[in-house]
Amino acid sequence: MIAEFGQISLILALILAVILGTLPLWGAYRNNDALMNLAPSLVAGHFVFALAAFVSLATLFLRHDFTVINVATNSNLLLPWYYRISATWGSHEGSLLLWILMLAGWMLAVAVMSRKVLPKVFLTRVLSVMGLISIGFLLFTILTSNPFDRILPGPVDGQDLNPLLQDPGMIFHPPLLYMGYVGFAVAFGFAIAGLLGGRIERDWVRWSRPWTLMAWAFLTGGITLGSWWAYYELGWGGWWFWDPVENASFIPWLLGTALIHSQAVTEKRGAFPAWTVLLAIAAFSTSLLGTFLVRSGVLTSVHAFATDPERGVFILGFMALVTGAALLLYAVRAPRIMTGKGFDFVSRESALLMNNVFFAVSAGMVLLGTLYPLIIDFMGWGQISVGPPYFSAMFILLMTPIVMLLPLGPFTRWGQDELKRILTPLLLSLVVAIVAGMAIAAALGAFNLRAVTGWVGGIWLIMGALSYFRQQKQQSRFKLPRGQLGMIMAHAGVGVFIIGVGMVESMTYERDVRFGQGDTLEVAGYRFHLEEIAVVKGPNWIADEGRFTVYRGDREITQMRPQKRLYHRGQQVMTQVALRPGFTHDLYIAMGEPLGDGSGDWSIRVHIKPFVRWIWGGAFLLAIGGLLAASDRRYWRQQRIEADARVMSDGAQPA
Amino acid sequence: MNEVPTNATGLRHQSPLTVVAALLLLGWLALGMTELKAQADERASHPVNEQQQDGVPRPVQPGRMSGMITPIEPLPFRSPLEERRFRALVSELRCTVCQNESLAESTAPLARDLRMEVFAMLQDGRSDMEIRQFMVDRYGDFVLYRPPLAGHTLLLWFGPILLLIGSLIGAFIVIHKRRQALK
Amino acid sequence: MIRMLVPLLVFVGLVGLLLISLPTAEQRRQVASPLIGREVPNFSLPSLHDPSVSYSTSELRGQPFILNVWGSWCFSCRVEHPYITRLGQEAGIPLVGFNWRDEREDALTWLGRFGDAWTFHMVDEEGRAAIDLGVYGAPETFLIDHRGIIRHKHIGPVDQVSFDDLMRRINDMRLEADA
Repeated sequence: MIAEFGQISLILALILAVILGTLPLWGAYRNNDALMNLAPSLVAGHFVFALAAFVSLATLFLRHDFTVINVATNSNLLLPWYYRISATWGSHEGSLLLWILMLAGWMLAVAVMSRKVLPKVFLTRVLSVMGLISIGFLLFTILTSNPFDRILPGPVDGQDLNPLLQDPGMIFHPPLLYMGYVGFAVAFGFAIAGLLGGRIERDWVRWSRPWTLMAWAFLTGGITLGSWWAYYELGWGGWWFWDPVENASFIPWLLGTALIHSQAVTEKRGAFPAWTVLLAIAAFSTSLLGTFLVRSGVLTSVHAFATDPERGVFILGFMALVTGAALLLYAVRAPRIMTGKGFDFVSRESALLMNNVFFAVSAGMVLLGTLYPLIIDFMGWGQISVGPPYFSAMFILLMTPIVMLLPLGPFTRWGQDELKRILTPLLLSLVVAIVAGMAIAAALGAFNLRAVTGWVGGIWLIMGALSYFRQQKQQSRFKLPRGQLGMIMAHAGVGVFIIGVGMVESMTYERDVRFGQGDTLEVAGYRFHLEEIAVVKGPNWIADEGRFTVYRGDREITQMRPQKRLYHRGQQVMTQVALRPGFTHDLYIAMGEPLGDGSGDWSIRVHIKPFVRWIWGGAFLLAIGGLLAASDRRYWRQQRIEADARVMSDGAQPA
Repeated sequence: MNEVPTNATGLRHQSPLTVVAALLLLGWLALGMTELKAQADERASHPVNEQQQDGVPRPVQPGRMSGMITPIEPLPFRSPLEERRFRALVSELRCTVCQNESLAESTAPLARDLRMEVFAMLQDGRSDMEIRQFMVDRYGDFVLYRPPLAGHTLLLWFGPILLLIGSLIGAFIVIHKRRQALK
Repeated sequence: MIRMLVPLLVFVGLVGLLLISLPTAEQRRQVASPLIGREVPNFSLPSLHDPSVSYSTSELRGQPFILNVWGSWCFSCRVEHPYITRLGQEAGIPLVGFNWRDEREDALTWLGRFGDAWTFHMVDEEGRAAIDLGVYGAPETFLIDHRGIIRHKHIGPVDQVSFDDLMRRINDMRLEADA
């Protein structure tokens, strides 16, 4: 029954989405109040049914209803309850349902929170456009990837959830990531509503800023969590692999980063309105593109979903429709005149324009590299692989200039400024960064190009952000607005991130060692002593566990227990890494294999990862900074009055 | 409405975001809890009495996905430099049977054979260039994660640079035009 | 107006590329061998049935032959077995088995169970010769002409369609060899 209930909820949500995507939009066009008033209740209903469908699926997983194919293939009787819940979004079908729920949630949030802020016509258009997007995903789910399909009679027990996904990090990574992807649908909706209305862009850009910031912050969080998960779960010790699936999430992130900066210019100065619209369209479109790349199997990736060309055709068609229509509308309606006040070469506008140039070009580079094997194949030039060496080299090349100029940005005035005035308050930071950076690198015994660049660059960014904070504190009598605080935090976060990358990429200790019972490895002041290798049992697995005692000098500092697990169902082998996280370095042990020469020795990988936490710490600061900036009261207050005034002056009905 | 003290208004208007922040916090707490739970599970798990399970990896068929483990092999390197060269080489060579994994990441038997081949060639005193060429001769450019610079990869290597230069010129023109509006 | 259409045109190009690439995704998973059109590498390997005898590729020079890579661990090899048997019976040229990364007993048992239509089998236990051949999975089927040039490589199990294709190529090679 529950499966049927979920199925019906999904269909009802589709019906409401169809109504939402048509009637209120028509109402907004004809200025029909009654039709427009439908939108919020439709959004609420749409959310309720999406939630009902999602809860149904979760319940099916919790109750082990193996007559549902999706449950039977992604869960079994031994799976603990928390992984049964996360298994709800572990498969292709379930993750689409999560996507739909998130979209419905964002729509509800916009309807509730912007009700008092936005003019009704505009809000209606935004909600209708998002409703149209929801139609596509609901149709996709119902027609090609129904999570409620039954098999009768059902098996006695299910197969297993992929052991890689049986992990706390995997419970939260997809929801955060989808919050980000789907969140860009809000910015997209605002941009389309703006184009449809043909109104002055400054308004809707201001209204959409907090939403874009939130989506960007979630996407940052989701990517960070994914990177962290890959680090401890794959037993490989890497934190970024430039796999097509990662790139698929990174392209919208890069464009989103450009977007939140260009929105600032358009809102404050009215400059680059068309470009901001285009970025909003591009950020969401590349999210759709990512969905296509991950689920169609067009590219070969390590962690793609079970792929299906038929689904690929559907998403591609959907993307062509959504993005094609948006870009056509853009071509027809986008503002063509340069608006706003003028600005000089040295000005905040130019600085943010530079940010946009470098981030957009980087996004283009990642897209080109990801799709280049397809181009080569299409041209009949053979087969090539584009991998990490290409992406890292190009990315560093493209990002270095903009990152080095970053601290100057906030100090630069709108309109016109002088380089000398900007640099004066930063000179101290620059000197400190160079001296301290080199000194720290030398003190850590890491006097190489990467580490020195990491330290000097990182300290330069952190000091730059702090000196901006100090200057603002001195100049204003009030508390700094959250928008400013968020920006400072995010920019400092980039510095923290760079230090982490510089150290990890140059100073990682990594060795594969042969370990027998009682063996000891001494490295970097640590002693790793293998006490024994035991067999342990978990709820749905059995494992060989290495029991290490780690000493620093003569002091025992920790016990580390890496495992090699064999999951009962599907008989999959997994490495469970033992980690001892630290502020300046992680200790990391992964089990290899028994060496099979009768000695009982194992191959064991030992890593010491310096400053690796700083990578995620910095990214986490970025995400928190984004949320903080989104919560700036400026976005949530008083605009109604201005907006209403403008609507009235345009001769439209007061909202 | 206007009479509400600023503080209260502020709070009211922030509340949705506070909710988001609170949810995020709860999420993190939940993350912590599950981690605790997982650790508790591990602690509860007890050594099994049965004979230590034979740990020989199940035979994995070449040409199939090998599973989710990383190859870990202690090799007798003669110097740290040699070890670094080995790691750099195997992580830039693609495993042909796998789903986008380097030789360093793959446990497929063929990937192991190829790693051993790389190791043997290093011991043999061959240069990185020769080792890469050895792979390309047998498996094509496909094995190189760093595509060679050639006619068909010009767009790949120079496209982004050209795009950057073009965009910078575009930006320059825009700023130049907008300067006129200053006067 | 033209300028504002640029993003749309770029997007249309992108969708076109993806649409064209979608049906060929499976094909791209097979890595084309750079060895096609080149001479077959020379290696000498022991026979499966009699380890004291060894065969080398240079001995086969002068006539076209088929080289079929298989292993008893390989499920797809069982799938293609009926077609390989037909190749052995109908091709009219030697069908050389290349037993890759296998255990001798397992391989012999496998042949005993399913039938042995190969002319003879070479054993590559360590997988060194396979690397020289650019083998990356089993089964793979190579066609080598009378001058020792690798003319074709079929990746994956042979089915009816690829069997017909192989037979056509084999006949071409035989005609060339006779000419």
